[in-house]
This record gives sequence, C-alpha cells and structure tokens, in this order.
Amino acid sequence: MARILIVDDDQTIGLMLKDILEFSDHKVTVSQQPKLTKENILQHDIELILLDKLISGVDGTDVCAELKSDEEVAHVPIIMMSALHNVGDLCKSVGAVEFIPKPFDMETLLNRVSEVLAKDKSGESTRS
Amino acid sequence: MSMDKEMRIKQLEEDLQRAREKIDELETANIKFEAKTNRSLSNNIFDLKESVIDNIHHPLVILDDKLKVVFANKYFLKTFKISSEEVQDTLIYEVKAAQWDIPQLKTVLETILPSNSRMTNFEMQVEGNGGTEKHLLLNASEIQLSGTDSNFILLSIENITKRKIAQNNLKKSQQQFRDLFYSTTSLIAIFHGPDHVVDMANDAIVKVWGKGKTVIGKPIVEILPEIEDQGLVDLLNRVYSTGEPFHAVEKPIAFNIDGVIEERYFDILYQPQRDSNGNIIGVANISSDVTKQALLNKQIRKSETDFRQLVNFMPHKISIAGLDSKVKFYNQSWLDYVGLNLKEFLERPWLDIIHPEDKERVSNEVALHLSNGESLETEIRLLNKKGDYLWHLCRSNPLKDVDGKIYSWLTSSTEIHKLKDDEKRKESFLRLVSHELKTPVTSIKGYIQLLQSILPENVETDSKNIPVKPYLHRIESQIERLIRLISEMLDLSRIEQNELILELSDFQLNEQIETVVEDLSFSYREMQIDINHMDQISVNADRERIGQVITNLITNAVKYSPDAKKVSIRIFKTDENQAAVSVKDYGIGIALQEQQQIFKRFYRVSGNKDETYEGFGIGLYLSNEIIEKHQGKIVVKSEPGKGSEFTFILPLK
Repeated sequence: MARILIVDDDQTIGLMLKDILEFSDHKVTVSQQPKLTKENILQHDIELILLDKLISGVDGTDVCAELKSDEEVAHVPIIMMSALHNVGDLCKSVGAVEFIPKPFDMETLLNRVSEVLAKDKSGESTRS
Repeated sequence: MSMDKEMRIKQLEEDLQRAREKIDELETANIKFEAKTNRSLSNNIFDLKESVIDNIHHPLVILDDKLKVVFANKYFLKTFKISSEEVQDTLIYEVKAAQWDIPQLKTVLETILPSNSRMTNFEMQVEGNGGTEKHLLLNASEIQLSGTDSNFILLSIENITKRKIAQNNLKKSQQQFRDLFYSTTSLIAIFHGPDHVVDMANDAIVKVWGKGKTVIGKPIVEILPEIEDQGLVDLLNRVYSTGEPFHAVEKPIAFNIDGVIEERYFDILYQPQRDSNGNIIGVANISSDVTKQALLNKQIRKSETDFRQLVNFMPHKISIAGLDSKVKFYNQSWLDYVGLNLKEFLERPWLDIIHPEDKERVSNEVALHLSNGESLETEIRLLNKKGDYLWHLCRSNPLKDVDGKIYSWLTSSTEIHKLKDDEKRKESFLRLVSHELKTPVTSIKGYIQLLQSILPENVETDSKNIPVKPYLHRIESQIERLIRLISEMLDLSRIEQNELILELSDFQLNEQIETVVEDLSFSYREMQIDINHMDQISVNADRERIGQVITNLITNAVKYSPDAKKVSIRIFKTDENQAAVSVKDYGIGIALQEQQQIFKRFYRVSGNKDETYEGFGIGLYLSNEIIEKHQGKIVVKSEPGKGSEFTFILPLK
C-alpha cells in the first residue's frame, strides 16, 4: 500500500486511475491542478506521483523538472504518462523514473507502479 | 618553286646568253679579221680564236666535217673530266669520259649534223650513268674558216639536267598550286586594280556567284551588282586603299541568282596583294561558305532566347552555378523576390539570404552535393526583400556535357511557405486528434480491464445470467482496434513527414512474435494461429514496429479469411544473413494484378461478394514502410480463392 498522487486534467482518467489503484489497495489523491502538486505531496505525504505530460496548458515536464529541483519533494518518484508519441525520452530526461504511454494495459500500470515503489523502498533502505 | 631554283635557272640562262654573245662576237671578229687581212688561215689566227673560245665559261668543241674534235675548250675538258689529248682527233661521240658516254648522242650528231650543220637549243634527254636522267642542250653552227676548204662545226654541249629538274619542279609546283586553287572548297578570287577586276577565281567562288563562268577580266561590281548596296565594294576599296586586311565572321551576303535573292553566310578575308615593290595591286578574297553553320547558330541563339524568356516567366526561382558553386545566373522570379538587379544579386554571396538556422546544414548539404555529383533536394528558408524568411523547396541538379562531365549546377527553388504552414497545422491537428481520441479510450480501456479483473476468474455471467465477461471481452477487442486505427493515422502522417524514426534494440524475434500472437488470440478466439519456429533468431530492430508489422499481417490474414479458421506463421532464416517471417492464410487471396497495388496507401482488396473490410487500407503500406526502413522487404505469394502468404525479410547484421 502506498500514498499515490495523480495529476491529470482529464477527470475520467483521474477517476479511472484512482479506481484501479484503490482496488490494488493504494491510497489515492487526484488533482487537476499541477501548480498545487508540491502542496499536495506535503499535505498527503505522497510516496509516488503519476503525472500527465499535458495538463490544461501546463507542460508536465516543467512540473516534473521543478519538483525534482526542489529538495523538499525531489525524493518522491514520478511516473509520467501521455497520449503523445515519442515523449518518453523527454520525460525521463527531466527526472521521471518511468513513462507509460496512453492508452495502457491495467496490468502494465500496476506492474510499473509496484516496480517503482519496490525500487524506491530498497533505495530508501540503503539510504537509511 | 623556291627563289633559289629560280635564281639558278636565271643564272644558267644568263651564262648561256653570254656564251652566245661571245660566239657572235667571235664570228663577227673573224669576218672582220678576214676582210681586213684577206689572208689564208694562219695558225696565229686560229690560236687567237682558240684562246678566245678557251676562255668562254661554257663547254665548246670545234669539230671538223667528219665530226672529229679539232679543239675542245678548257671548260669542256673540265666539265666532262677529260684531257685535251684524249679528245683531240677523236670522233666526238667516241670521246671516252666518265660524263660523256652517251650512245644516243652519236645518233643525233650523225644524223643531224652532216646534213644540217646548224642546231639551235636542241634539247635531248638521255640516260646517264646508273640510269639517271640527264638533259643535254646542244647548239651547233657551221663555221667556215677562210683559207681552208674544210667546214668546221662549233658545238656546245651543255648539261642542263639540274636546270631541267628545277624547271620540272617549278612546273609541278605550279600545277599543284593551280589544282589547289581550283579544287579547294574555299572560295578564292583575286581582284586586280582599283576596279577590282577579277584576275583569278576558282570554281567554288564562281559557283557561289552564280553568274556563269565568264568572270575573268570583269570588274566584280559588273559581275555582282547586288553587292554594292551591301557595302562589300566599299570594303574592297578600303582594303585596296589602306592595305589593311578585312576579316568578318558569318557575314550575310545576298546574291541575285536569276532574279531570286538568296542570302548566304560567309567567313571572309580580304587580303591586299602587293607587287615586289610593296605597292598594292589588288585584293585577294578568301572566304568560306558557312551558311549551314550560321543558320544553326541563329537557331541556337533563338532557342537560347526562348529558353531564357521561359525561365524568366516561371514562378519558380531558377539559378545556375558554376563548378566553384558561384552563381552565374538568377531568373526574374529570383530578382523580384530579393528586390535586386542581376548584377547586385550576383555580387551577393548566396549564403547571405539563407536563414541563420539553416546555414550550416545547407552548407554541408551543398558541399556533399558538389563532391558526389548527385541531385540535391532540401528545404531552406530564404530571405525576401521585405526581410521575411520563407520556406522554399530547392532542387539542384548537375548539368553534364556529352561525356558526362559536370559543368554547372541548375537549381530550382519553389516557395512552399504556405504549404509548410498547412503541413504544420495538419500535423499538429493530427497530433491533437490522436491525443484527444486516446484520452477517452484510455479511460474506457482502463475500466473494462478493471471490470474484467473484478469479476472472479471462473464466473462468465452475472447473477441474472447475463454473459458479462464475454461482452466485456468484445468491447475490449473493439477498443484495441480503435487504438490501432488511431496509431495508424498518426503513423501515416509521420511517414509523410519522414518522421518515422526507428528505435533499434537487440531482441528475440521468436519471443516478440509469441507475445503479439498471444495478445491477438484474445481478440480472435475462433481463429487458430500456429507458429512454426524453424529457427531461433535474434535481430537488431525496432521491437514495437516489428510487432506492429506482425499484428498487421495477422489482422489482415484474419480479416480476409472469412470462412477459414487457420493462420500459419513461420519464423526462419533464408540464409545466414536474412531472417524471414511468413504469415499464411487460407482466405480469399489476391489476384496477380492486385499484388503490387496492395502496398499502396488506401488500397483495399475487394472481396468476391463485394464485401467491405474494416480498416483504413494503410496497414500494408505502413508495414512495407517499416520493413523498408529496416532495409528489408515484404513479398507476397497469393492465389485467389486459396489464400495468401506474406513474408517479410530482415537483414541480419
């Protein structure tokens, strides 16, 4: 179980992701406000972020880069998602740990999420 | 004939003349002497004569009436290399001497001299020693010496072989000159005097004048009155008066041939003729008829003008550059675009008007293009007179001569700015469409898969006996289909933009095919898809794209096999360097004439019942593009009614 933040301006996708992840026993917060991401992370003690590349005129890669350069929140792993083609490398270059193209298989999503969480846990344990 | 030979002949003739004058003098002296002394011949007188004759530089002998040598002068002895004793009292034709053993001479002297003791300039050709040709000139006159009853003959025998040969050579040379003059196709005439009277005119020029053969001795203006108005007589006058030669190329001259004006073209040289004192005595006209060439040149010039006008009228910007890549010509469209005249624009380096961001790329492309000699096609932003950079499609081709050697570069630039804008808008529209379509699809797919996962594994229906799971499965397969269609649409746009970029990696072809088939078998449950792994093959390729090709081939196989239930896949190596994957179906097949068409965009095979089949008709086009990008190829074997087999071949490293 992990605390996951979903940042996507499409309400249905946000809800769908929330439903899928909650069925897998995660605690999910959904936000359509990319600018409030840091506040959300801190407020909900977020462990993983699913961040869309395009959020109502804001570029998700900028949000990702900003979070990664902020010491307070830089440790939270970010998985980026997009329905755009060929942006995977770009997203990874700004600090996203994974990229999932839309539309995706539920199984793929869940696998990636658990992989990242597991890696993050082991990373934390080596750090501590 | 050389001056040398002429001089020698002249010298010989003068010598001979002097000899004759001496003989005449001698005879006169003799007569005077006889009259004066009226005495019989005394030895003294004879001695005097002998001494006179002796001093003549000319071979002379005095013979008695039996043709015996009475006296031979020094020059005779010297010429014929013989001593006085060997000659004295010997018959003239029996005189033995190296230069003087001529049997024919005897005959001549025996037959002519006794009956006719005078002989003037009798030339004879005899065969000399060693069969060489020899020419002799004989002169004989009877001399009567008073006080004697005997008749004497004064004979001069001159070897004129050298002079004769020189004369013959002169004749031959004159003949050659005449032959040349008359037979050459060059037009030659020599005019004499201020009225340009025709002195000589060869057949060629007489024919061109077209006024018959009687031209010699007539002034040129009388023969060709039509040339006066054309300024030719003035030209001849000028050459005659100034001594400056006149030269013209492709000069048109109109002749009046039996009332018909005929214009011809000539390369002309009017050359002044001078006498030995350097005074101008006439003008030589040496010309050639270049009518054919001139007409051709005229045609070429006209065609060149037409071409230039055409090039200037074109909306495309045309330029021609030399081998040094320096531009030599810009057409009017170019000049209008940049707002400069030709001279100003030529002075400006062409890189100046290229967008700063394009400069380096274009320089490299041009350098490569110049070095490999291949055509270049590139898109460049070019600066116009308003200061805006507009997109142009530039095509450059080498111009080659008949030997295939490049001599310049022809570049045509077409403004594609609007097109480029449209393309950009279309591309961003397609990206937007694809993005917008994928967003709801993502939610639908997510929920279907969530629902499927919520329902227990072994339960196919819900509590009211409704087959929920099969229904969900059908929805899911249709969603997959929708996703494929969206991807194809975007891929098509990418191929058109040349943006289909491969992401190469090493992977197991067999595994990838297994995965694709596994995914597809959920969608095509009623279809049996067999895989025959004939070889295990690892390839370096774009895994997703290869998967896409296999998916396409299998979906096509299923789509066009409405009544068949089987698709067979084979994975094998055709040889060490090639991997092949074939997908065989047992469906409607493809007629031979359609087999090449199917790789074209939007082409769809029509079924035997005029059925329509799902899809955009771009699956095979995309697959073919993807495989070609991998340097591979797709081949098809098919027979209508029996099925088709598509095989794609990938090169192995």
